[in-house]
Amino acid sequence: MRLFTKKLPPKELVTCPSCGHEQKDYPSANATFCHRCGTRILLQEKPRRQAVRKQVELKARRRMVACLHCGREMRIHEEAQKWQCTSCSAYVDLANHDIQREHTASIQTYGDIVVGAKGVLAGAKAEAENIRMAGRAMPRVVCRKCLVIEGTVKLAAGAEGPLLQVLENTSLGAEGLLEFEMMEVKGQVQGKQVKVLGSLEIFPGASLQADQISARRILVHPLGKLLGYVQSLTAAEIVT
Amino acid sequence: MWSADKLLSAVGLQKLADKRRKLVSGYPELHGDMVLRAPGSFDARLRGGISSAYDLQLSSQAEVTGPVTGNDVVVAGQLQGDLTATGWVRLKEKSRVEAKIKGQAFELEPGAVFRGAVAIGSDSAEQLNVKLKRSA
Repeated sequence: MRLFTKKLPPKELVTCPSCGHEQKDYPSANATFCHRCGTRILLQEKPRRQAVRKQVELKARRRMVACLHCGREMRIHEEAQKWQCTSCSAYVDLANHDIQREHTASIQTYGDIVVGAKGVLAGAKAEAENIRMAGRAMPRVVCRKCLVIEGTVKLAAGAEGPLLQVLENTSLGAEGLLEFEMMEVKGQVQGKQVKVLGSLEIFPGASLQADQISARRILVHPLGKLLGYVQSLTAAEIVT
Repeated sequence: MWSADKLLSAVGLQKLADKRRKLVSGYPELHGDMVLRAPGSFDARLRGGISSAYDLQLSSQAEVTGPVTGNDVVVAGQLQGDLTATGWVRLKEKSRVEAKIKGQAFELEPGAVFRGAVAIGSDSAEQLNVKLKRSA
């Protein structure tokens, strides 16, 4: 007894490219074999192309990440949140972190960190790709791309990275060394030691006060303020 | 647009044009304080100060040991002393400066060698004790 009947699609005539034999097959099939000579006959080429395209897309969406413990480089998917190192089995954090209150654990991530106005980074380490700070940080803040100051920020142990941006109407107080390749100051910065390997730019209305300031290039626009003992960094000093 | 220098050169007064551009040049060494009453460049050795109410450039051959004041001051040579400007202070690529700098704006070019205290901004302008009077 048949409980239900499924209507199958009609078959279509297929000609073998090798022997010319004609046979009927379902048009939705990807491929079939010639009933006479056994040659493989491709019926659809689209699914294969789509599969290749998907593979290419997957490859393109991967990125190289070095293990923070052993340094081994891995190629992992861009959207992965966590990964285990193939060499030392340590977990590599790839997630973004949003800190809106005191956070006592260390953060070492290949994602970004956002610290709100009431957020405090109180762990032993704070390292990320991009960091947006509006609160406080107890450890030395290490960013691999950009550190943005967007509030009243205190950095107890300083910070380092390629770029520091202090936005308008914000203030940064740093106890430790601020070491960056580029520094754009549009707010107020007060620190002990500032080292800029490239360009330090202070925009109108902004100020930078520090005990020791060293930079390769300094530009203080009219209405900007710079106060401190300044020492230029020559190319030779940067290399050493 | 024709500048005063081009105009003087065009009418054959090259010497006057040169004199206008280079206020002091070609002297091996000068001693004493100088007051410059025109904008221009300075390219001599000086043991003493320079005071000017105008734009001033210490060229790459200038070696000044003493206080320097001016409006927009550009240093391309060597300076040891206090540098006070009512406008910009620019330390050019190969300059060597050891000075206390006060001004309204500041530029340190890559390659310049500088060491000293810097006070740039409106507060530092209040600290300026130099009252420069432009002579008509």
